[in-house]
Amino acid sequence: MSESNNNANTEKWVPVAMLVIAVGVGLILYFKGGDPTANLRILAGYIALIMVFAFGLLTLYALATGKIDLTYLVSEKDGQASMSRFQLLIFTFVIALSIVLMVVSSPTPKFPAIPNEVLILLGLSASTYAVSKGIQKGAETDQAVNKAAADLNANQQAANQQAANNLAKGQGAGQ
Amino acid sequence: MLLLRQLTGYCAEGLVIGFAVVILWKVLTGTISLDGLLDSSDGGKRSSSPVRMQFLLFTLVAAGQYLVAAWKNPTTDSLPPVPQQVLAMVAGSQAIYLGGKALSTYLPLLRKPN
Repeated sequence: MSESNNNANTEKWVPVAMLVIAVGVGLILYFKGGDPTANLRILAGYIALIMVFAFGLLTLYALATGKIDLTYLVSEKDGQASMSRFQLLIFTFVIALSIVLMVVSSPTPKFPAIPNEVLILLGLSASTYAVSKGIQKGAETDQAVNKAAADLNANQQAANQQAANNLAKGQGAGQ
Repeated sequence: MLLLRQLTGYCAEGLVIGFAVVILWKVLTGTISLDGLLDSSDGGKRSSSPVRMQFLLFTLVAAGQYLVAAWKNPTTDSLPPVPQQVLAMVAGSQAIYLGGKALSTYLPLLRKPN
């Protein structure tokens, strides 16, 4: 009970803290003076940053506390870990960390260009996952079709047997 | 404006590292299950799979190579390119994995009498 109260308090305090920071930045820019248009652009930038960071922080908090369940992040329905999901996870983090490293290390931070080979690498990984899912679903569909055909066959045989029994009974009664 | 850019970079860095740490921590503590990562299931029976092992190794090698390349030269305007050989290696490894998965999935179905 107290743990859920703590979680609820944290979820309430993060947006409030971010709002206070945004108002603080706005006041600093207002009293600093200068070109109002430029100040407005800077304020919009700070508000966008604060919003995205708050969303990220809340998501991270929910992941860390288990509110967002990650148990089956790399697992299939049967509980076995999937190699293609694991690979996609690794490549996603490697590319994300590389981008962040370059943005932070640059003297004038800006988003780096992404070469085609990197997109191909991520695309290969994602398509492996998709094809792997396709193979799995195809096999499940084949199994379901085979089972339905076997059931139909068994029903047909039972109906034939019933008809033969009825015919035999009718012939016996006639004699 | 430069302060805003730097702050954005640091926030992004914090979040990405935070996500990576949380996921790594959950993998290490077993909350994210890696059970059967290197096993193939053949008709409901699990056995260790060399195909999955090579897939994992090539993935780790390609990821490590890329991280080292990004670490060595982080001040350029573009992410480091992935060498064609590495792309071919990853694609080949994935093709082997998918071929193995298709075989292990469909062979039991083909063998089973209707």
